[in-house]
Amino acid sequence: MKKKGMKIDRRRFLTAMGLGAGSLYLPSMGWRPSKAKASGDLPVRVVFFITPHGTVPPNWNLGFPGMEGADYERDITGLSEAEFSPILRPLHRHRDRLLVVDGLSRTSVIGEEQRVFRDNIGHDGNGHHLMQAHLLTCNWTLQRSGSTCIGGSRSIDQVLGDRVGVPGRWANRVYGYRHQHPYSWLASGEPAAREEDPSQAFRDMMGLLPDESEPTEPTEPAPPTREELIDAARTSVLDFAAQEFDRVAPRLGSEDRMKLERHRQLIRDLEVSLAARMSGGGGTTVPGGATCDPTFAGSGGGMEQFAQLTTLALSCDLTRVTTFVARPLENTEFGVPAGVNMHQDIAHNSTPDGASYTPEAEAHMTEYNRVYAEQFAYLLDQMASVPEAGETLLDHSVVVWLTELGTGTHHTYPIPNVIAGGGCGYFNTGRYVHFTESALTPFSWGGPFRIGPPQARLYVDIFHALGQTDVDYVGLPEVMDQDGNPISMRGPLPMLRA
Amino acid sequence: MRDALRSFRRGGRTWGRAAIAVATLSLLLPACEGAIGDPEAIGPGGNDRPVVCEEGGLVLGSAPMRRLTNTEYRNTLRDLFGSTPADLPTLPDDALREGTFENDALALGPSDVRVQRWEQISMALGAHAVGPARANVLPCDAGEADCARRFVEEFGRRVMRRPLENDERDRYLAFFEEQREAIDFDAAVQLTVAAMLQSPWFQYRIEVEGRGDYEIELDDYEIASRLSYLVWESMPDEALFAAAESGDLSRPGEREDQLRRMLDDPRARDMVRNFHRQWLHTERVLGEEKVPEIAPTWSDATRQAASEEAQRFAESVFFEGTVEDLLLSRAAVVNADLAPLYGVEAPAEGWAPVTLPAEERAGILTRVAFLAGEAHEANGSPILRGLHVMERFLCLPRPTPPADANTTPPMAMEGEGPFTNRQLFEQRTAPDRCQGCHETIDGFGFAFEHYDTAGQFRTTDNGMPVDATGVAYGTGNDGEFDGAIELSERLAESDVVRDCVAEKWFTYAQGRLLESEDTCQLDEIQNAFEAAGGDFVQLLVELVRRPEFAMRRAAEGE
Repeated sequence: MKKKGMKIDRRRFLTAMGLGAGSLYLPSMGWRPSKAKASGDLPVRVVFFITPHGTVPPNWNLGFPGMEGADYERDITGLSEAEFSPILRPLHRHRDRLLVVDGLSRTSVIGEEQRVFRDNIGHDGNGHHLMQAHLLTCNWTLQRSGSTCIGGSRSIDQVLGDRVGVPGRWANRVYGYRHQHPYSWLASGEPAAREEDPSQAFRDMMGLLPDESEPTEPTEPAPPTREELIDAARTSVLDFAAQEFDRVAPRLGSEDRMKLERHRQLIRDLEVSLAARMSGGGGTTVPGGATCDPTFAGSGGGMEQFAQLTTLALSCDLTRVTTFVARPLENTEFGVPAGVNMHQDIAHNSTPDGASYTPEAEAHMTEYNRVYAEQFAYLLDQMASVPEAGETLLDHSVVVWLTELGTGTHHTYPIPNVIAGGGCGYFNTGRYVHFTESALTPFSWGGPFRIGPPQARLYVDIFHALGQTDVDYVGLPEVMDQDGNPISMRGPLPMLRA
Repeated sequence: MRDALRSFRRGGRTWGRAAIAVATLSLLLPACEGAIGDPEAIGPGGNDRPVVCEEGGLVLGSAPMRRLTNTEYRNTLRDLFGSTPADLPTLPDDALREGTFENDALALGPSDVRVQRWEQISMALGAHAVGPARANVLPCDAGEADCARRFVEEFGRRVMRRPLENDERDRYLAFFEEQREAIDFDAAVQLTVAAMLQSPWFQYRIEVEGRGDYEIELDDYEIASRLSYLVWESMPDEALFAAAESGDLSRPGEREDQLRRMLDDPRARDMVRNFHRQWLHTERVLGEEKVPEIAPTWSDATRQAASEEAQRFAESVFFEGTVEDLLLSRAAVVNADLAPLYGVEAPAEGWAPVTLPAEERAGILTRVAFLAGEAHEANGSPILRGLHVMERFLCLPRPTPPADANTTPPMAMEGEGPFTNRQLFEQRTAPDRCQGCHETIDGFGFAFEHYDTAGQFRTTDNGMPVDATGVAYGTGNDGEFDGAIELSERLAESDVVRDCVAEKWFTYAQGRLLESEDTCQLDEIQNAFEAAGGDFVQLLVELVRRPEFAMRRAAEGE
């Protein structure tokens, strides 16, 4: 039985695209996910959920007051809803599956700030720009004269996709909204495409999924229609196009050649996708033997819709890595009158150590983050509702709530991190983990200060959770401290693993 | 950077200007600690090799392959098919970042999403080709002898923007025949069109045909595409193809003739608007909210009208005027949404030409799109407005603020004041470590204090008289001014501004950031622009007449 909702079947989609009714030539080969044998065979999937502007640390924290000077952990499974911090309270119902990580630092940003201000050669040192560019790269930004700084290397969501992607499926998806600059980068200066329109994102999926509405046990195979033949020839068109790329690439200079070779590979990937769709899954595994139900409820606002789509894409194994950029909130959504400048009047005034602090701004910024916690909880609800091998999709995923900045006042430390789902048992969830200050920063206008371990090392853990244990660092391997000694950004973090 | 460029100028006149630039720099350097004027800041990769310009010598910058921008892709499809189906899938955004344009080759690569959307669009246009666009695609009927070959050759030439090579034609023809045999003639057309639209020759602008080893003379079809994508952001038309076929485009005079012809086409007007949308960021105002106490009628319609007015103004100045007109002309078009902000009578319907009040307005820097775009909700931002002048009209890089700079709009503390907007900003940037840069930034920005957050003219601010006086630094025409009109007059006569405008157009034409190798060519173009009195059409004429327009440097590894 189908769920109610906005189900666009592939035939309607293709008809709308002017491609004719796209039913399958061999209807007996419908969507037949193969059955996973045990949870050990399940792929770990990853979602990077990114909200703007940072948090309000005292209203986010789940730690014991007065213990900031030590590394420690705290069991949060027994906490009541009221004992949860105001910002994280909406996540209380998922507390068994949460790992709240406090005290990490955006160390690579601090390293670049040092360079920017030491050299002072017209580099862009804007906190938003730097931290957006570093969030998923942990690497030097691309600084160009007369231009703002942007991502300077392939971001980790793309690299993860390269490593764990399945042929014929997407390596990675970037869904959601626009902050100032992109977070996800294909290469230095080249942002990854981000889909803003949920229905377009769904149409993309339907272009990849087999048509489930066909009967799976036909009695009489019908001869293909003209439209079906044309649809089937799309792979031949792609094959032809890819060969044209092969022909021209060797005639070009090295940079242009690499660009066309990358393009050629993407055409080949799409060709495999379409071929897999036509032959019914192409051997792709859908975890737990669950029937992939390509139904999109399309209910709620755009954020809810993207949460549904992310869940759909991961549960149908259309991709294993998704980056989800949250929508910037309207003032009225967190109780602030329209016309107030959220950035200038709320975020910048929200931390007690800031020069222009006001309690009202702190309260608004707290509410701002609580609303995002609700959105994050909604995504977790969706993922926890998909059964897989006796557990759920959420249990087999790593869902990370990242934010652009540490605080509304652009702090690079401490950075709030919430991991949900254990990644098939990699992370030991149901806990709050605090890292204390361990390194002296090389630079600050207010004098040097101490910071916790690099957030980049949490990303190393995520690589390891996905079986990529050869990865020892992401982005920069180290930056320099106050005395010119290296602060290492290598290796997974202690205290996180199960 | 500018002094690096200047130092290569030859002859008394240009050296004279170099002296100005260096003198300017000395005012900024001690304060800004090298943030401005560092030769390392040129181009990606810190290309700071010294370049020597010789009389009649050529120094060529790089010519990276450019993927079609979304605008170019859509325009090209429109011109290929005469029409396009509604509801095509959306394309991922092209990045527009400060200091560059959407056609920046570095950012124009493929992605999985784009490749998938292009595939869908190619198939949809294939269907369109045997439907409504049949006459634009097929030169013959299916029954006619040799129709497949004619279709592949003639439509293929327009898609690839050059005649197909023989083996290339044979490949498409073989593909066509295969599909015709498997399905039918129309399906073969549809699928062949889809294959052509996914060819690298269509999706990218590839230059590999020219003659030469290192300094390569482009072939005529490559020159035709350079012209058409510069002037129309689209493919060449038949007249331009004909000129390419006759081998005329290597002659500067022929390129000029073609340019002038093409500028008369409405597609050139679209390009001019698109350029100014990016250069002057005329869309910034679209996201701006205003407090109702100051601008009670501010609405989406107002924002749209402000953006549209700026683009119409820039468009008319480009075709009929000069840099001076851009900065000083009071000619405007307004509609009922915009007229009240300028204090002029609203037209009964639509848009109508007006002359704005002489005491209040002059040129683009006194228009609502700029004034209300570079502003906060309740007040104009002298800093944003000043940076706009510096970055977009003087081609100065934005200095780096300290990490802990307070960037909120300043407000009076309880029990203090009242203050004007200017006084609040002056207090904020008073510390020495701010003044090094803010003396210049705010020096420009305070010129606009006669305009409130919505761009309305005012003589008082918070009950006190407006102070819009200041001193311009770094303009090559420095000195005191009182208000935006006097500042605009200084800028209108500034060599630095005129050179900067030329640099922006040059960057747009190159599709990349400046490189040190561009120095000599840009210098010549700037000199010609000066000689032409800042006439924009002449600027483009000089650009396409240059020998470099018909040449490229061999790429690394080619």
